[in-house]
Amino acid sequence: MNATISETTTLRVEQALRLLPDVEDLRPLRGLVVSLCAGRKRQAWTAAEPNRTIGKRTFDPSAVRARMGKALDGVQTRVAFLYEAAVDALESEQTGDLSRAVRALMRAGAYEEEGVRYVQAHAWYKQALGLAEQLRDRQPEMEALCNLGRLETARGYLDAGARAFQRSLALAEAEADNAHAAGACKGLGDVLFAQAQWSGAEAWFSRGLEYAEFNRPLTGSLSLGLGQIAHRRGDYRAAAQRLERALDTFEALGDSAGVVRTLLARGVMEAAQGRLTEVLATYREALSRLPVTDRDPVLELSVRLRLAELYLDLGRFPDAEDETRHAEDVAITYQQTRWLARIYLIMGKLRGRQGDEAGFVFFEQAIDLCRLGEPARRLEADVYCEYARFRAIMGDRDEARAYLERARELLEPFGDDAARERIDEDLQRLTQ
Amino acid sequence: MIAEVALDDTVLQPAKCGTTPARLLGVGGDPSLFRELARYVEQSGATLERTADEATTLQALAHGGWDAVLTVLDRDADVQLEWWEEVLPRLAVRPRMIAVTPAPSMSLALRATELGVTAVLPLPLERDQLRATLNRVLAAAAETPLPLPTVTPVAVGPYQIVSQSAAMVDVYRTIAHVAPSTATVLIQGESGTGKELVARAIHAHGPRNTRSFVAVNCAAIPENLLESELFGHEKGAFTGAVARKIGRFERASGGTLFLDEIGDMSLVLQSKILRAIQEREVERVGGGEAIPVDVRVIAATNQDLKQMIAEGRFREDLYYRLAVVTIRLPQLAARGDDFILLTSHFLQEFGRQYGKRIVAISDRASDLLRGHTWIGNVRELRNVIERAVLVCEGDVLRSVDLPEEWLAGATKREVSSTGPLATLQEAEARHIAQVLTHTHGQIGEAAQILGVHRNTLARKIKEYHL
Repeated sequence: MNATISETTTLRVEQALRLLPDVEDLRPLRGLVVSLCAGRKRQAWTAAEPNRTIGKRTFDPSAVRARMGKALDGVQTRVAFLYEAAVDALESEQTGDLSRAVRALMRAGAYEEEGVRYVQAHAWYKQALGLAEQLRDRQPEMEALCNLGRLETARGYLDAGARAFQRSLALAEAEADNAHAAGACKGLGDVLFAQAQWSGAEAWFSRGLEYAEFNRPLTGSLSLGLGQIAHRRGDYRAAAQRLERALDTFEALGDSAGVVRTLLARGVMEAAQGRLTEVLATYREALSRLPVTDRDPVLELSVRLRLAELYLDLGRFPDAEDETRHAEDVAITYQQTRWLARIYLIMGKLRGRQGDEAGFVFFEQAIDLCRLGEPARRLEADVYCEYARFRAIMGDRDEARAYLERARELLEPFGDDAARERIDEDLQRLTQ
Repeated sequence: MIAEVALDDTVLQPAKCGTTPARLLGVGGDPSLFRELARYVEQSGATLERTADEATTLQALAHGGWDAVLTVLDRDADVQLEWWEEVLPRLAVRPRMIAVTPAPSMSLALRATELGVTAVLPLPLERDQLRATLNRVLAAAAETPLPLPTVTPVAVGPYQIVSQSAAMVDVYRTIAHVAPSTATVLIQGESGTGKELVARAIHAHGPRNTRSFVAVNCAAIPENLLESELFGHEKGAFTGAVARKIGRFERASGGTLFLDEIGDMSLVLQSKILRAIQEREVERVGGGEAIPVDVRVIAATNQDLKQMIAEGRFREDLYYRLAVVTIRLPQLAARGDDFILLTSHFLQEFGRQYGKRIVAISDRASDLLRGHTWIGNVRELRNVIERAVLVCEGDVLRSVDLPEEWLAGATKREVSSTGPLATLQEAEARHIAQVLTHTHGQIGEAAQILGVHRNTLARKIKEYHL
């Protein structure tokens, strides 16, 4: 006889996610299930506890029912915003104000981008771009291209991102629009930085700095980028100076997110120099500088995971586990499923270092999360790469090879040659 | 009182406890600052003695006997910290350290903490803050170190069993009895009582010990993966099956398969397990071929399987297949003397892992450990000791190394009478250590207090490594 679910019993998240079809309309509800699941029990000492993932957490369906109204309000707010933008675009078209129509479409795209609904955001931006190309005023087109470039880069489609930024830059230079030119240069620098092409990235960031003379936020970001490149090239002195400049700029602007990003970059550099005491202090300072009033979970997660990885590198496994589990709670509360996948990737890595074969559950959960809702193929490729290393440590060379090949396949559309080369090197090592 | 330390052995005495004021060594800073510090320190019932230069500091430190060191980190804090980084590792016993600084920063605090500095206090000093810090540091210094017993664990492969208690002797007897057979075994016990270790012991002492021992925790693996994990799958059997996978049953063939937390398995999977045990064959997910397997199954659970059967959540036929022999593991609280043996064993294990040598545990730390209710049994104890070793600064594990929340509640809490009690030897060692502290190491005086002959006491001091 199967156990019946009474009103008082709880369900596991994995049961819920298996039961509910992965359709667009149910995504907010699936997110709600994730955010409502119970926290880990501090007093739980079962052997399974250290390897429990979100799937093993429980939730009460009646709590979902109780919060359904709020979830529906969220859905309504989003749809209302998008409809409002759409109608605004229609009315603008009717009055012949196409620039305004483009802006309305881009507003909707930005809204979707912020909600990490990248496919939707892409559709809105594409539509905006199509319309903007018909205008004599080139500014909307530059904006649309910059938005599209940023989105493609965030999705991991680096070649597509670079193409959009290049088009935007050409237009900006032709129009002598320094602000857009600076933004496009930064975008191009970001793409090359992601591809580990330091010289190219440096050239774009420097060029951006020339254009961004009076744009302080952009100056801060470009100095940060240049600092990161100087570090990668081993010029720590120049890197420290650039990062200091970025920090000063962000401090003066009161941009705490910028300050935190710069501190993270400084931490990475200190770690590379083996200055472990300093890097721990830097990351802790970054944690303390996180915006207090308007909590930014993504920024907080990026700091916590850096800290966790540092502990992992230092062999301080209990601290790494604590920090990662803390991040897990943040990611669950704020429904950050992609970050949750990254968190499990680190947990899996940790178990690999501890020689715990059961750690494979974290990779499997991470892969599931990458496929939950809008697929995150670039992230899934990263998970497979790390999963392969884990399997290799456990002596499963065949599985390791299969996972690397899967990662390679997933990376194909992204144009990230550096990542593919790393996979090839790993594959070669496995066959030796 | 402020005094400069003279280079004279007679000035330097061992640490004073009880009614004698605690002695603090002051390093760095200028005399006027030290006069102020000394006044505050005196108000806390301690004395502060200042060294004039690096040479006298080194000599004072080498002699030891300080309850704590108060160092001033001024404008040259980096250089001063470097000096301490060089000096401290060379000392036989690391002193407890407090730092005061006019320019506190996170980087300085962190560096000082890594050096083992207990507190970094900003200047100008707040009297209450200094007093609270001193009280904390001196309380830790006043704890009496108790030597750790020597432990001889029983090796089970890379794992070790530590026990001398009567409750575990019964378990050993059953293991010895059942190991040579191929009977299926069900191990029951609370979380953290060592079910997997017992399963490994059965395997290690059985006829299959040259073959694999494969463990699966049924509660940790996602339901949709558990079947493929146990029975394997063919490439492409489902999304994500990127390679052919050999299941745990096949991997354990010829050896032992340990199914932990079997009560967490779905009824569907329970029937597949039953079939695999009965038919001695498995089928990979997505494969049509029956693969013969020869495994000894050992299962474990912390749940009441009979209750689950009554509720229809566990198959009765599978239960009787698994429970041919049942071993029930005792809670840590019921294992008496094993508690201190396990503590000692974990201190050594993690000491090795983290490059520390811990030779004793303070009386207060020991009381706190004994007074704790170990819901997680040995696993919880192991976890607490690992964290304590990570933060432990000297060669004695002290109460400050234990979880903060324990210390907060400890003053009001009576030590639980249900916790494991001290052995006669432990109590004797602790009492002798306390008396010796009271007499500042004077054996004759201590023997008089204890009412034993001086030679008897000397023998006991040697025996207990006091």
